[in-house]
Amino acid sequence: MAPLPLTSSTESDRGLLDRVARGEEAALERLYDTYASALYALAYRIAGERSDAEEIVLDSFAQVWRDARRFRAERGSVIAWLTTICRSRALDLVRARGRRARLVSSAASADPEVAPAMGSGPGAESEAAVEGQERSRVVAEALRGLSVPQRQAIELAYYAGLSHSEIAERLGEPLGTVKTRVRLAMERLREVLRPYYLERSA
Amino acid sequence: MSDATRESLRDLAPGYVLGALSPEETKAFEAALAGSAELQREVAEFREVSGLLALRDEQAPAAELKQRLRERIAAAKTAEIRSAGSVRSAPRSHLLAVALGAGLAASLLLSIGLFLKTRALEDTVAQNQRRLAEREATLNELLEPAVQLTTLTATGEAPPVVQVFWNRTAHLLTLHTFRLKPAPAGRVYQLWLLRKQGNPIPSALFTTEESGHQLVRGVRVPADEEIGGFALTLEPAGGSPQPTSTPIVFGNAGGI
Repeated sequence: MAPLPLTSSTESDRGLLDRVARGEEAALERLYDTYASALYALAYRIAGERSDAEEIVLDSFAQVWRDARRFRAERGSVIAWLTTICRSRALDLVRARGRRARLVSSAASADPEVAPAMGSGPGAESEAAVEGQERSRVVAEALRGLSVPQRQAIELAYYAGLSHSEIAERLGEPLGTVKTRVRLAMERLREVLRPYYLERSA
Repeated sequence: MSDATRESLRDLAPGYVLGALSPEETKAFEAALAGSAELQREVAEFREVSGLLALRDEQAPAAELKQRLRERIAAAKTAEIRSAGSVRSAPRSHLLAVALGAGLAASLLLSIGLFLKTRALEDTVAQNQRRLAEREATLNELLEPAVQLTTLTATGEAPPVVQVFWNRTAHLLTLHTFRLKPAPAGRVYQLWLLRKQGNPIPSALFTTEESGHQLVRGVRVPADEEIGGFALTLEPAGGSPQPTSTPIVFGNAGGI
C-alpha cells in the first residue's frame, strides 16, 4: 500500500492556512484539531510542564493566526513551519527558565518523557486522532530504525536544542563523530520519511 | 566553489536545520545558502524531516485549551480592529438626553461617565495589546535563525552600548541602544556600515530617549556589500555622506 501523506487528509494544510490568512477562525480550528495533540506532546517533551506546554501550544497557534500571510510555501510545508514555531518557543522557554539540565537528561534517556493525556481533545475515534496515531507510528518507527548512538544524538539536537559541540561534550565523544552521527541520522530519516512528505503544489 | 567545498557545505545542512552548528559554521553556511539552489533544496528537505520528527507523539491537550485559543484570537481581533480605528461609533448619549426628561439627566451623566471610563479602559487595553504585539514582532525578528548579534561599545566606566541584530538572510538590522544619551540639539546619531574595503556606508539616523534606550527596526543592508563592522557617530541633523566625528562606539560584525 502506498504511504499516506502525514498531513490533514480532507483539506490541504495550505488551503487551511490560506483561509487563516483571510481571517477564518474555523480554518485555524481545523489546523488545531489536526495538530494540537502533536504540538502539545512536542511542547511537553521539551518543556516538561503541562501548563507550559499548553501556553506554548496557544502561543504557537496565535502566531499562526497572526503570521499566516507571511508563510512561504517554497520554504517548506505548513507542518514544518508549525513545528518550527512550536519547537523554537519551547526551547526558548526552557532556556529562559534554566531548565536545560532536565531537558538534556530526558532527551538522552532511553525512555524520554511523554506528555500526560489531559482530555478528550480530538476524540480517540475522530479522524484527526486516527491520522495522529498513524503519524506517530511512522515517525517512531523511523527513529527506531536509527542506531542507538544516532538516535541519542538526534534526541539531544532536536528535543534538547544542543549544538554539535554541546552534544560532543555531553557524550564525551569527538566533535567530528557527533557531526557525522547527526548527519547520517538525518539522512537516514530523510530516506525513510521522504514518501510521507506533503505533496506540495507547484 | 570546489566540489569538496560544496560537499562540505552540504554536510552542514542537517545541523543547520536543527540549529546545531557553531556560529562560524552557520555564517559560512548562510553565506553559501543564498546563492545555491542545491543547498536550498537540501535545507527544505531537512526542514520537512525536522517537521515530521515533531509528530512522533500524540497526546490530546485539555479540552478547554481550544476555548482558550478562541478567546485569544477574539482578543487579537479586537486589538486589530481598534488599532485600525474601525470601531469609532460616535456617542449618541446626548441625543437621548434631549429626548428624556430632566429627571433622567443625572443617571444619563452617570452613564456617559461610565461609558467614557469603559472606553478609556478599552483604549488602554488595546494600546497595551498593540505594544505587546510590536514587542512580540521584534522578538520574533531577533529570534530568526539567520540573525547575528554584534555589540558596539567603547571604553570607560558605564559606556554606551549598541546591539546590532543582523538578519543576513533578510539583509535587515535591528538596533537596540543602552546608556546612549539623547543627541544634542541639531545633531543626530548616525550608524555606519563598515565595508571590509572602502568607505563606510551611511545608514540609519536616530536619537534616543532620556533613558538612553532606543529601538530602531528595519535598517537595510546592501546585499551586494561585504560588511565587516558597524560604528556610530554624532552628525549634523539630516546625517552626513561620510563621518565627520570620531565614532562613539564600534564593533566588528561576527561577534556573538
